[in-house]
Amino acid sequence: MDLREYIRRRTRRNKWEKYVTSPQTYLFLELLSTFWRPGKLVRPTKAALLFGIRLMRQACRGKRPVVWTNVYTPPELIWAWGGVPFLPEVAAAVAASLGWSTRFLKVAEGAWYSTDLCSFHRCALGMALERVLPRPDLVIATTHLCDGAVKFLEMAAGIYNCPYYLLQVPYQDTPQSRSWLAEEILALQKELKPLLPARPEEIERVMGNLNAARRHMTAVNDLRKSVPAPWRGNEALTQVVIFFNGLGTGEALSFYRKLEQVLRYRVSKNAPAVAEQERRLLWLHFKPFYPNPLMDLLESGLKSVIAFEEVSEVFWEEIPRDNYAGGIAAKILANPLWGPAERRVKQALKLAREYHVQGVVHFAHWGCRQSTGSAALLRAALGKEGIPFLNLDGDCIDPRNFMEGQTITRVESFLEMLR
Amino acid sequence: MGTNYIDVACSYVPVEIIHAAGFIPRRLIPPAPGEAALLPRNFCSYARACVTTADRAVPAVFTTCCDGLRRCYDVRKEQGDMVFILDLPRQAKDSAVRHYRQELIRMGEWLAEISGRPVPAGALRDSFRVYQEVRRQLKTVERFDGINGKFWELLWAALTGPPEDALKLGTEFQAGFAPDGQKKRRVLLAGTVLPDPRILELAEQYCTVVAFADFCLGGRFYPDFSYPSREGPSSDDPWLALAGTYLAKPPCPRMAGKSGRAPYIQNILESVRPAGVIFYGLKFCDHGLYEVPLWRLFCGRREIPFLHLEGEYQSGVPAQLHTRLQAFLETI
Repeated sequence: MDLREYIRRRTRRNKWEKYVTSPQTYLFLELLSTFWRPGKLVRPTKAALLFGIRLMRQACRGKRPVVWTNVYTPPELIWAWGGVPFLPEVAAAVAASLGWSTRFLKVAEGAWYSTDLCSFHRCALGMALERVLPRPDLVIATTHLCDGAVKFLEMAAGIYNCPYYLLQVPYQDTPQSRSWLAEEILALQKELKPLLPARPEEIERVMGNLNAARRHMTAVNDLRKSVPAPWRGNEALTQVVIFFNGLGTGEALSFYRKLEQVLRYRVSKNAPAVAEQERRLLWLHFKPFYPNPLMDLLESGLKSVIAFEEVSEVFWEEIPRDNYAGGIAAKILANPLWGPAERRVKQALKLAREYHVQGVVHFAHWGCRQSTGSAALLRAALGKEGIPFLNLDGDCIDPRNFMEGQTITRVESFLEMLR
Repeated sequence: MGTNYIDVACSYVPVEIIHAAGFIPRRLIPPAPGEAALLPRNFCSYARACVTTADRAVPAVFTTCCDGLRRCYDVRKEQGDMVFILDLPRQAKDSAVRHYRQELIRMGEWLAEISGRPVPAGALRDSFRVYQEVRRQLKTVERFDGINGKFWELLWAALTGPPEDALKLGTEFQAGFAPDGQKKRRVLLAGTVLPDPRILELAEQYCTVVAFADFCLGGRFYPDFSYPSREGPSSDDPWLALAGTYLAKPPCPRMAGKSGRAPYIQNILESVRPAGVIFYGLKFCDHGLYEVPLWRLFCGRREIPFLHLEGEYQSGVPAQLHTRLQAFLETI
């Protein structure tokens, strides 16, 4: 490479970094969004978008400590302690939806991270190496759900040279493990005191927001049991960012409140999200986030609807006001995707019955051992109940692993079988 | 295979408890995996072997060490096998040791259910002594002979049979030691589960001695430790002593944070001073794959040549791998 080419590439990269990690960019986007006046049915989408922009602005501004963590670590814990939770795996999904993931995946691969690793983590590592993410002040990993997240976050802490903390989550959900985990949470809170203030009134406010959001989420999920389905699963899988990153905030509460209103309206007016819904599906794991025709085809051209997806399930109880650590410990341990796979299988069977689905699709994300490893058990259990099951191989983040024709053919054949 | 065996799938399972309960702890080393559609193709081949080709009549202890073996436990449990899963912490801090102690007691209760009698504390202390002696012998053989031939034979005996038999074999080996006087290159072999031990023969063939083998089936299974390795009242409580000692043993790639691998890798590179490092990993093993950049970084800083090889469990050493190994050894 000659010197001019080198300088050109460097300059472009520096500009990219500068804009993506500047709070001014997000202030500008927030101001721009005020010109968007969506109709009644699209208001939750605007709330979700605004949440994302504000989150990035907060994280880039650096007034509150930025805490990198993994999905399913309760974000309310970080909000309550005075930090800004930032989930690089969610950032990877956003990058993929913007069509940027391949670039970051290549960066990670160039740094010897194998293509056999989960692409959520590989893409996030590439983004960390390119310095396009808000710089973490500390990293907190929880040992559920997967191995990749723990290792990836440890690597990220090394890249940014910031402290790394690990919250060990017991494998079994028992009263003993709940109280042990609650003690661990309180010990971590104490250890992080110099970095995160964790004021009691803030903890109470955040937990109050979480409980209120939970009530709306439960109502939303109940409304989604209606036939025809009032919400598209594709959209629900996109908005899952609020679930992972926003719980405990006023914005998340506002999002779920608005969503409940919209779905209630749709159900009362019999205005389904998808016009023709000949088949209802349950979706397991995440979807391909990069631009692809699969999801739209599934919910429009193929006359089907994703009635529900396992990642939207509200599996936890309200957090008690007098024992937030105990409540959060119970929430973490109640996650059916953690622990023995029979818990996930039981949940899939329950959801299949409750949402009156004709078939179940498991998106087998390449590199995700914890999810794909239980596919055979899911197939067997659903088969016993007479519910058809499709294990759809693919990749949520890496478009290079998406075989369009093959994937669509498999989905079409599966749906034909459900007729 | 007799019913007196208990298979263990992880080096963090204290074999002393199984031995004290009257069973023979046996490292789960099944033949190459078969196909049964129980686990996906892009899954660690060791985990697939534990499901498809392992002797399923033998009760097995798994740990929560990785996604692969967790799913392996699930599948075998679903098939009605007698399996147990031990919740293994990723750090060796005090609260984790207390948690692991509870888990070991739970495993002791499971063993008592199978045998019909509780694990006696006295027998546990006797087992400590037996395994301590086995570890001592392994260290002695390793010092004389490196991680080649005899060491592997002894380790295999200790991994797969009664420790008393391994002790006899170790004594025989020590009586017949004679240094061969040939100057050999010292390499460090690292990984998670050793995909195929024939790599050791291959190294020997190219006049190389494996000075240290950092594997679950190698140095990490039989570390040189004494009980209890931690200070405090643990000596009065054998369960706590075992929990503390095992969590503080040389960390495997799944351990994290302060108990993680970075300081350990730097330490072994410093103490072993190898001429080259070969990372021989299993395909689709996430823990192993996350280790590769770390080894590359530390080897690069010390200017130690590094080679990453990938293999499938018990699938032999293909010709391609011979060529790569040969080319690598020529450079050191």
